[in-house]
Amino acid sequence: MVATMALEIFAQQTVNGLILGATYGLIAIGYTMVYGIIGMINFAHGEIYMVSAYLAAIFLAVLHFFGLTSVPLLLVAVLLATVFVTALYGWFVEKIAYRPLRHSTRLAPLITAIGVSLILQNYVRIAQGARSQGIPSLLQGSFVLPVGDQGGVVQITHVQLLIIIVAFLSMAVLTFIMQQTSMGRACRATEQDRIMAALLGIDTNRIIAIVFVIGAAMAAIAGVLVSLNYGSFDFHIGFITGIKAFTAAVLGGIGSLPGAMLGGLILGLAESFFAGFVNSDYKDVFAFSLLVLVLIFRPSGLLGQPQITKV
Amino acid sequence: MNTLLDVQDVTLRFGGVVALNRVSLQVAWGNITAIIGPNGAGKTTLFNCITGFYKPQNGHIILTPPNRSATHLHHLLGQSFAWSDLVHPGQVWGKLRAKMFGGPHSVCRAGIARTFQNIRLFKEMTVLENLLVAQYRQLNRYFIGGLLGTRYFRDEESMAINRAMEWLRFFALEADANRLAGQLPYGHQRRVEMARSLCTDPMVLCLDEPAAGLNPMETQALSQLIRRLKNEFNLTILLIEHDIGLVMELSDHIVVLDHGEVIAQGRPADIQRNPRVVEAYLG
Repeated sequence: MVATMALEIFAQQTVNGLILGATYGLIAIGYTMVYGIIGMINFAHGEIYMVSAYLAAIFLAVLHFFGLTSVPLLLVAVLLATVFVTALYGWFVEKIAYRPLRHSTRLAPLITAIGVSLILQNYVRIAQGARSQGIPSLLQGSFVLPVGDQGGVVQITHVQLLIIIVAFLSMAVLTFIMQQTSMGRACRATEQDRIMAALLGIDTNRIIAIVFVIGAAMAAIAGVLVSLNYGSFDFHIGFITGIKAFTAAVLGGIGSLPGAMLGGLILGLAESFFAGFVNSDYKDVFAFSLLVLVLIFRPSGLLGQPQITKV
Repeated sequence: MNTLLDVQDVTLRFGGVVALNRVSLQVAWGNITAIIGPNGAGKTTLFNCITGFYKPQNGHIILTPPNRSATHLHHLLGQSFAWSDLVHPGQVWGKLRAKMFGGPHSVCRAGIARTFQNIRLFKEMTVLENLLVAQYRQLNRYFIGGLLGTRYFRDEESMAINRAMEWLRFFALEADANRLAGQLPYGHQRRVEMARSLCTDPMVLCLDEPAAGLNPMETQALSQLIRRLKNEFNLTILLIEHDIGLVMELSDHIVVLDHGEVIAQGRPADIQRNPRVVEAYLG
């Protein structure tokens, strides 16, 4: 009986961890790509994610008001609209806060990133209020799968299934774009040697803007999915989720795209196993301890390449 | 003589140090022009100005392709606005455009390509990918096409691959096409870098010490390749080189720099006898 319980918790926490990890991974992509291309940590990225949750709620309300009642159509429309507008946010943030500082010290854009983060938080607080907002659950129902032979079950709601499908699909699409298209090649070239890429005719400023747009779009996908799942959010959710996603990016090796996805999944699974089997109050402690451990043995992260300094 | 690249009175200062002092030179269309001089003479700095990496404080660098209008290369890097813009509002648009979208990449797009003394390949990418990156300008840049695998995208992609393979064949590198660029031997990397800069479809190819680190046999092969580039592809070549034998053998025109100034220029035979050149090299 105890074994069945453990198996049941294990299966349920695997599902929960995958969902949590997929969203961390999606957000971590923004951190890792921006770091890879201009070597800065975009602390405003968590706030972009928060903004996307609000945008999703707004689009949902507006589209519903105009009579769009079919749930699948509504989901697709909200996702596309949110991704588009959030990508615009990412583009503007790069244009206004980081591009003018491109040739200054490395620390300057870090400070503006913190500034942008505060501005976005307070802008949303003033515009939308400090109380937490919610969206109605659009998808009801769940699948119940049997686990083991003693009648244990694991429950996957439709929203959770949607999260897993959309998250992994968008990661696959992004990987394909980066590996197979000429734009992706230009991104990778700019990441390796920005000056050389410019001398080969690549408009590196544009590529950097594209990377910010991609990062924001991925965060927006996560934002829509998470707010569909939990149903409520406030102006402060960007902070802790952003820190977690950043941790995932560092865990996987910052600068590495598959690393961000892997780091997100590992962090999500670790957190949810710890919460399920040990103590849910200390799951964050465990996640960060994991980070410390990994960095002691692999300072460049799981899939990151060690920096070789030429003497 | 048909001047393709005209460098007029270029001055570049780093703080108080004058790196280039009123450097003027003309590069004729279809010629091989060599820039020589002692270490620290400003040869690479001049290259950096020509390729849009540095912006000189004074002077003009003008590219005049045959039968086309002239391009001021440093205008492509963005100019500051001046009072005269009020009198000629027509030029404001061009300045604004260069400020917003200009940069070294527009110099490359104007038709100038370069290689580096210390090789700068994208080491984590395959040789073929390196060459495809250089064709970015000619390619379809919209990822939607690539995502959906449209016929247009695939046609363009295969055209780009063909073009890259042609250059790889020219440099005898086909066998390395799918290897990572960072794993190739040194001599191969040099040739990959040249092939890559040729993929940008340049008019002027600037080679910064292409023979550095090559053995005499490899240098001989390189010299033949450079000559073929000039004869078969009508390329104009600017060359920085310390191997005087190679320079004398290849070049049509030699410019000697010392302490950021042009101390002599002319045909190889004249340069050899020039007393100032001998002094700069020996003294």
